[in-house]
Amino acid sequence: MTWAAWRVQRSQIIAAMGVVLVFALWLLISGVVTGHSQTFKYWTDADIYVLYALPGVLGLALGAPLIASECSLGTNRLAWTQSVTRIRWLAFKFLVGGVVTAGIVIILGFLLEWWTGAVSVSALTNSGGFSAVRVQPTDFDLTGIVAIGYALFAFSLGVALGAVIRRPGWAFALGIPIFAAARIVVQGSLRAHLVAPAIFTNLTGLSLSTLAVNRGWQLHSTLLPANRLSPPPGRTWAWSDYIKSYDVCRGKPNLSNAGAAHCAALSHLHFVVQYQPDSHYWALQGIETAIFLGLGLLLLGLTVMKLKSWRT
Amino acid sequence: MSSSGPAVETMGLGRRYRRTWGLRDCTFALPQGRVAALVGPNGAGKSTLLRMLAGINAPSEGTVTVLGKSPRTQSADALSRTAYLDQDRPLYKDFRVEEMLRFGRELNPRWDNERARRHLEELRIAQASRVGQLSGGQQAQVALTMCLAKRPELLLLDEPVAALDPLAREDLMQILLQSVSDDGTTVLLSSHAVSDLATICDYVIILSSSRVQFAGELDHVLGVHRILVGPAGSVSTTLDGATVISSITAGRQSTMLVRAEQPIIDPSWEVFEPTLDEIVLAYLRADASATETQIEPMSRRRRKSRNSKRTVQ
Repeated sequence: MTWAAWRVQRSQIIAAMGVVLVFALWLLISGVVTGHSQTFKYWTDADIYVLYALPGVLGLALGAPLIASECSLGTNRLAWTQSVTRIRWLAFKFLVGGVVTAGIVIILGFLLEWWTGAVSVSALTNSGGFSAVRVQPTDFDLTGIVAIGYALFAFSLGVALGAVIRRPGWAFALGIPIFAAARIVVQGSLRAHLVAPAIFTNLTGLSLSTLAVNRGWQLHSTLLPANRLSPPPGRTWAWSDYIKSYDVCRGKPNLSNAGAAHCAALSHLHFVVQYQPDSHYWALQGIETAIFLGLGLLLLGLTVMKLKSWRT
Repeated sequence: MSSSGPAVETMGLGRRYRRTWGLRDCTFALPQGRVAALVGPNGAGKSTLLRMLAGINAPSEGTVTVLGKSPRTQSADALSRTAYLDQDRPLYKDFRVEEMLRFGRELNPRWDNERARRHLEELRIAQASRVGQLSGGQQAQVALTMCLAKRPELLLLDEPVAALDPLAREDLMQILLQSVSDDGTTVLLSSHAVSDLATICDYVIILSSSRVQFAGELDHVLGVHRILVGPAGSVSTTLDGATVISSITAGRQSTMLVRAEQPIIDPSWEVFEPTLDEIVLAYLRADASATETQIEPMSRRRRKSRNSKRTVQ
């Protein structure tokens, strides 16, 4: 059964592996060259974007045909009339496709690790695509284990859409915006709160150069009343009703740090930075991966229900 | 055989596609060990019925039992006892023939690889050839081999002889007969080629207009249908104790095919015993005349289509 599940998906798997191989060769070339010169800086930018996109795209590309291509070719009527239940058939195909998807993403992860070493991180930070601060979104999405979660979610999304639409191309095309939306929602509004963020306060409101903050992911920074570490209920971090007196006090040119601290103290304000420190990296990675794996399992459950109630 | 009930039993089985019914009010029972022919015009619901029996399509109404179980329960055991040949002969086109056999072996516990290998050898289909590069007839043979090697108790075959040459048809009939006599397999096959079926079938189900017109033993079918030939103008839709299935008037003579449980004693008609072919044809004709209200003369039709082509251009 494992052989059959693999053989049925072989051409898609080979195509996906081919894409990864071509990309790896390109990284090898651009990595070696960029290590010595800056001419290839455009390319390193492009490489980063490709690395962002690949887990989702490959996951969808492997998932969408799993059921849909069999339906569009009619081979589901062959597979489902052998002595194996549909659910078992799905389980084996899903397992083979899922292992391949996860494997590809793990390979991509090692490639990235090698490549960031080869092209030296400083060259990348200059190019703007990569910050070398691993809790920041730019790096967070590419490093650690979270990409495996993205890819497996994309894979099950492709499978589920394929089961509903029954056209692999359309399932893939519809999967891309859904996958992107899920990523944007999680990264934009959910991730910051997955672990309670750390708070840094500074009386002066000028110097933030603490190592912990700089190596972390800054979420918000603002002046707040001295007795608060976050805006009062109903206010956002952009709340600024009360900083007038501070601004008036600070109005003089060439104000020293001491002067700024004095102004802040006079106005009963302090500078607050809310951030995710580097130490939260693995907790955030773990929770976000679990979220995407959970979504993937949910979609797998829906696919099973769809197969069980298959009408045509 | 595990049970002695009917191999297939349906009660008021129906399947709706959006607005139209693909099959309606289908009730019959097929005893085990029979070779049954499912005949009817295109669109009569033959494939719909077979797909529901194979558990691929769900019924919209009614019940269906295959070897004592609903085909929708889909247990591995129930699946292994039924083999189904789809109308489209779906196969993995990029597989080699030997890979197709390995696929069958991995997915079927009772798989008879020797049988499959021997069958393909007889047909001179090389194991190393790609399925997609075989001819249509050869692909049909591979698909059929997949069904036979499964060693099922019930064979559901949708148009099994459609892509086969006359010799291959003959071979297939032999194989089916042997399978029936060796393993007691029940066969339900649909076909247009009624004359081929008459030699091996002992049960007939006639579908038309999405309904079962007749289901029963071949002998019974032949026994209750009669051809009546008489003078033109004497055609009536009702005849004492008989149902007129179809009638044709040519010149001064009318020919009717009727279904009558009792012998027909009417001096104005000459009575003949029809062949299965003629009976099926009569049902098909009845169906056609029910759907086509007006048949235009050929020449007019042709002229019309030429005109319409011109206007399209």
